[in-house]
Amino acid sequence: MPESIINETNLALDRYDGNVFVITMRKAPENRLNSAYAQKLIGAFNTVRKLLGEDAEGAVITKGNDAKFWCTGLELDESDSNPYANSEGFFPLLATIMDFPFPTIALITGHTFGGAGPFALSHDYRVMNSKRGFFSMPPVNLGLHFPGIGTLPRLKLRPQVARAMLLEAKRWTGEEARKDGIVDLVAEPDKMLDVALELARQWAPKAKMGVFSLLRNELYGEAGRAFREISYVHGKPTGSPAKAKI
Amino acid sequence: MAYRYLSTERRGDVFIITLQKPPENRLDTEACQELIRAYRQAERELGQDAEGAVILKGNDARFFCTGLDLDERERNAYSSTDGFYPLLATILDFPFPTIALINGHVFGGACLLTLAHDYRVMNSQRGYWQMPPVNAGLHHPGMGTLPRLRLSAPVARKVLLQAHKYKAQEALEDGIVDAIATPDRMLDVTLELANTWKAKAKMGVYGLLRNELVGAATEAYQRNSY
Repeated sequence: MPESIINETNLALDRYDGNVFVITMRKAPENRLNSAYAQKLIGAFNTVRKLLGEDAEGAVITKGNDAKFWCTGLELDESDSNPYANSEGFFPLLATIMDFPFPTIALITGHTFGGAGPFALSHDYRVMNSKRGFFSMPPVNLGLHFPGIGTLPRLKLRPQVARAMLLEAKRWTGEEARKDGIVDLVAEPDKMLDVALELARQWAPKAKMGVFSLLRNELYGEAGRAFREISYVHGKPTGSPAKAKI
Repeated sequence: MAYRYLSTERRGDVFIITLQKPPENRLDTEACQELIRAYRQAERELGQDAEGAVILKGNDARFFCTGLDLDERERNAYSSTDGFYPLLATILDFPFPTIALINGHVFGGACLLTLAHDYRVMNSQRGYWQMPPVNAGLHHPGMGTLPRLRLSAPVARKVLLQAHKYKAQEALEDGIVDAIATPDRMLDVTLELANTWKAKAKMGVYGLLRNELVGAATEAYQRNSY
């Protein structure tokens, strides 16, 4: 039985065997991110980091609460009242995950759209629901951009796949995403947590020598730098907000 | 508008620029500047926050462009800085989707011209695509940015370090081109592609997002320009 560390209405953090932690997003209806929720997620990552300590084995899985949604992106309305909303939550969240000293896995339980694209890609691994849910990034359709939005597609995906994601707003099923290298594994809804846990246990030991984040950032550090550059910034605009909403 | 070395045509929201500089559409400074004018005209006519796309092609089923005018380069050390590099920067910065219709042979710098475009369609029956700088002892700073950013790592190596000579089928398999078609169909296939993606320019962020992926190339050519 996992040990409950955080048990709030919209977020849970549980500790499983083998130093594997599972963050469950349950912010109905679709786990949309606003600055407050992003900060909550950052808090969960920080809690895991402090519990594990330095030079330890460990891993984190970020999942949704059902087999329908993982996260359908940012709450775009928040930018209307607060133009710095992303700078106060979403970008720092991406920066936190890129910096995290332990392997991270996105268990893409269902639909994943918009800002949830970089959110999923910021994790080291991705497991996706094989039966249900689409993955797509619609910023080109919405007129949305922030500097660094393309870093993870560019650094982690083949050029033609990154082009489809960013310039075509292509939509992938789990199996299609696996073929294109966007996700590493797919699994049926009743098995997907077990698959993610197995993957987490396989790679948790790689954190033990204290260089996992350093090495990850040898590959993808440009993305982390881009996100940090626009985090907690109020002195200048940090992107073009959406001209259309979904 | 009248141009030297090229003609333009508009079909709906799609502009077609046809290189017409016999015998092989070799690019000198003036031809590059004329191309820049044509892209700017397309941009003006399409307008801001509009649907649109631009296709660049050669004039027949034999040659797309066999590279830079190397004689001019020998006479004038700045021929590329005043022509070819600004041309690539222009295309990479362009606010609308761009497609190179590789109707025939492509060599040398013209390979980079095709890679600067967002998509590539190639004549399935005729024409080679090859970058020979490693064989010819040529280099310019930033020459590898487009191969590295547009192509998978093994293919980029094949292109830049092996000067591999591609025919259409292999170019398709290696992801250098996105579609191949017979000479009688290739313009239609390209127009279809243009019409499929022209709407992505409407929200005014197409160039921004493209440069999230290939911006290092844009910057390299901007740095080398003028």
